[in-house]
Amino acid sequence: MSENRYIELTVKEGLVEDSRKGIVRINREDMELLGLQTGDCVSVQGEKGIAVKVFPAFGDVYGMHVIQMDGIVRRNAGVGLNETVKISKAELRKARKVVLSPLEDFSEWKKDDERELRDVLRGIPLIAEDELSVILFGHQERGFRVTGTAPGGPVTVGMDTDLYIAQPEVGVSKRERITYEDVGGLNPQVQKIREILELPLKLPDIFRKLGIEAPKGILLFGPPGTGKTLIARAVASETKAHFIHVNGPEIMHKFYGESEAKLREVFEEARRQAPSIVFLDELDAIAPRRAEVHGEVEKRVVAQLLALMDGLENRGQVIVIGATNIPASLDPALRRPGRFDREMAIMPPDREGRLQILQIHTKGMPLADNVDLSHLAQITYGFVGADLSALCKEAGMGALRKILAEIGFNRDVPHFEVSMADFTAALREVEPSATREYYSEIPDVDWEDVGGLAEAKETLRVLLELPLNNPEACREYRFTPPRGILLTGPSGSGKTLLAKAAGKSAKVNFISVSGPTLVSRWLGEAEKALHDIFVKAKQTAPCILFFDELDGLVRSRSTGSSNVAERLISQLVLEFDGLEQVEGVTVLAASNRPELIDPVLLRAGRFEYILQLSLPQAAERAEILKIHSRMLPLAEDVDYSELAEKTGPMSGAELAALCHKASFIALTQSMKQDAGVKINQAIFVQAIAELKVQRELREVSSGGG
Amino acid sequence: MSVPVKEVPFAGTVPSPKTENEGMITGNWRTRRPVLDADKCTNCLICWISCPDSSVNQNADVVSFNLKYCKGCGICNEVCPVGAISLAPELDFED
Repeated sequence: MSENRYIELTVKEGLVEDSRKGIVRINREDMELLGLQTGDCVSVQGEKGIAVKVFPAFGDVYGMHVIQMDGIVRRNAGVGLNETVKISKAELRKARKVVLSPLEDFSEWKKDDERELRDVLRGIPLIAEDELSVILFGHQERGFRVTGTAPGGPVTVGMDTDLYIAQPEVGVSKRERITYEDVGGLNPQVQKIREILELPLKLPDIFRKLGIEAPKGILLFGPPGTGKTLIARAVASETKAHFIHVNGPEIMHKFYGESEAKLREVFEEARRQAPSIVFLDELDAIAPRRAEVHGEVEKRVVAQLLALMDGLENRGQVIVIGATNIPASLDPALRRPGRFDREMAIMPPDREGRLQILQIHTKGMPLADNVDLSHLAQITYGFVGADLSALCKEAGMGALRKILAEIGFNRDVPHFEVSMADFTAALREVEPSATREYYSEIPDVDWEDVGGLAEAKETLRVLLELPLNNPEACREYRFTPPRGILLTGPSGSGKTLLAKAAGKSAKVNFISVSGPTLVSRWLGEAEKALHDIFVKAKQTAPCILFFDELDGLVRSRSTGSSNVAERLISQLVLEFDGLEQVEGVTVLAASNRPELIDPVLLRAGRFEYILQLSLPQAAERAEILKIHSRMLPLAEDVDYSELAEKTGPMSGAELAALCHKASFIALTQSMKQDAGVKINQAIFVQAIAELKVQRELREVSSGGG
Repeated sequence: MSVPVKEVPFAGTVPSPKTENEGMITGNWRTRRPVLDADKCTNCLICWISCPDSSVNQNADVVSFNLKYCKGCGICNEVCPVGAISLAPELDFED
C-alpha cells in the first residue's frame, strides 16, 4: 500500500558534507508524508530509478518541496538541477553478492583492494547499473559500474557481502570509439602512421632480416585544429598495442625531481607493456629549446626525455608519437633520427579533404536535399577540421533555432532538416582559425578557360608540366625546372588566370600569396611570414608558389622604398637560394610594373623567365569572348569576329566585364517585357558602347583629378 | 617505548572521563545532531579520538554518541572516512 505512495520534488544541489555518502535530504514534512524515518531507504525515480538513504533537510530549505542530492546521485538518476523526481519508500536489503566492473582499464585487483573497496562502499545503497565514483587509497578516484546484485533491487554492502570485480569493460560504453575512418582528409598521413605503427608489430622478422631498426618516433605538427590529437585517438582505439596518452603539462610536478620521475614512469610502463605507443600531446610544453628556457626544471625534463627516447638504454618496442603546434620551439636534439625519425606535417585540408570532413560531420544530420557539400568544401578554404566541425554544429543549431518555438510542452520534436541556408548562415559565424593569407589549393581554372596568350601558355606548359610528366626527356637535355617565372603585362591581361591554369594542369599544390597581406607592422614579422610560406611550400612539394602583385612586396631598393621592402627582398633572395637544393618548388609571380621590381630578383637562379603578356589581338579577343559567353543564352546572330573588331584595345578583364554587362542588359529587358530575351548582337553592341563611355569617363576623371 | 593504542590513557592523562559534570550540561547547545549509519561504520574510532567533548562512546560493534554533552560541532561528521556520520536538524527529533 505505502509502496505506491510517492511525492514529486525539485532537485537541488546537495550539501558539501553529504557528497559521496549516497544520501539525500528532504524536508521533515515530506518525510512524514511518506512515513520515513531518518536513514530510511527511498527510491528516487528520475530517468532511471535509484535507491538512496534519506535524511531531514536543514532549515534553509524549510517549506520548499525540494530534494537535495549530490552530483553522483544526480548522475545515476539521470536528472539535472531543477528537474523533478518521484520519491517513494523502498526496502533496502543486505546484499549477498555484488558484481562491479571498473570503468577504467587498470591492473589487477587484490584481496586487499577488495577489502578497502568494501569498507568504502558499505552502507551505501546500490542498485544494478549504478555508476560509482569511489575515492580509494586516500586520493585516487576510480569509477565502477554495478553490473549485478544478489538479491536484486536496492541493496547495501555489508561485512559479509561478496564483492566480485569483473573484467573491465574496455571502451564498451565509456570511451567513444574513433576509427581511422573518422579522420577525414588526412589519408596519406594516416597511411604513413599506420605503416610505422603496424609494420614493426606485424612483421618483426622482416626488420630483423633487413638488419635495420624500425622507425620509432613520429612528430606530428601543424596548425591547431587539423587533427593531430584525433589521429592519436584513432590510433589508440584501433591498435592492439598498449596506448599511453600523456598531456605535456601533466608531467610537471611541484616537487624537485618528480617531473622527471613521472616521465620515467611513463616510459617504464610502456616498456613493461610492450609493444606500446606513447603519445605525447602538446610536446612543446615539456620539450622547449634548452637554450631558450630559463627554468631548471624544464631543462632537466627535456634532458630526461632525450635520454629516454634514445639514451644508452634501448627503449625496445615503444613507439613515441609527439604532437605540437609549434615545432620550431622544440629542442633541436629531439628532432633527429633515433628520436623522432619522421616528421609529419598535418596541414589544413584541401578541397577533397574538406569534403570528406564535412561528410563525416554531417553523417548523423538530417540534411535537406539542397545541401551541396562539395560546394561547401570549395568555398571553405582555410578551414581546418575543427572549423568545419564548428560549421556543421552551427548549421545544426541554426536549424534547431527555427523549430525551437514549435517544440511544445510534451517535447514532441517536429520533423526538421538542415538546409543550405543554415550552412550559409553558419559560414558567417564561423571564421577559419588557420590564417587565411595564404592557402594551398589546386585552383579551378583550365587551360581552356584562358583565351589567347597561346605563346605564354606553351612556354608555361613546357616549363612546369614537362619536368613532371616527361622526366626522361628532361634528363636527356639536362633541363631542370626553373626556380622562378615572372609574368608581366598590363592589368587585366590574364596573369593571375594563367598562373591558376598552370597550377591546375600541372596538378601540383598551389599556394597563392597576395603581397600586401604579408606586410605587418611588427619588425621582422613580414620576413618570418615569407619564410613560413617557403617552408610550407617545401613541405607540400611539388608545389607552385604564386605571388600576386609582386611589385607591392618587393619595391626596388633604389627607388626610396621602405626598410620593410628592403628586408623582404633580402629574405626572398635568401629563400630562392635555399630552394636550389629542393626539387619541385617553383615560384610564379605576377606584376604589372616589372620596372619597379628590384633587379637583384631578376637574375638567373631567381626569376629566370620573364613572360610578357600583351593585350589580346582581335582573334584572341574573339576567343576570350567565346569563353566568357559560353554559359550565356545567346541568340543566333552573335558574330564574334565583328565583336572582336569593335572591342578595340580591351583586355581580358574588360571583355569579361562586357559579357557581364550584356547579360545585365538582357536580364533587365526580359524583366520589363516579361519574356525571355536572348542575348543578341545588338545587346553586345550596346554593352560595348556603355563600356566605352565608362572608360572615357574614367580617363577624364583621372586626368582632371 | 611503544604502547598499544588500547593502553593509552584518555587524553594521555586519565584512564577515562568518568565524571560527568551535572552543572554544565552542554547537550542542549546542539542545533545539529550526529546520526550514525551503522551499516557504514567500520568502528575505526577516528571520531572517538577527534571528539573534543569525549561524547563518542566506544562499543563492541559500532560507536554511539553521548547526547547529554554533544554540542553538535560536526567534527565527527567531518573526519569519518566512510561517511557513516551525518548531521540532522536537532528540532526534528522527538526526545
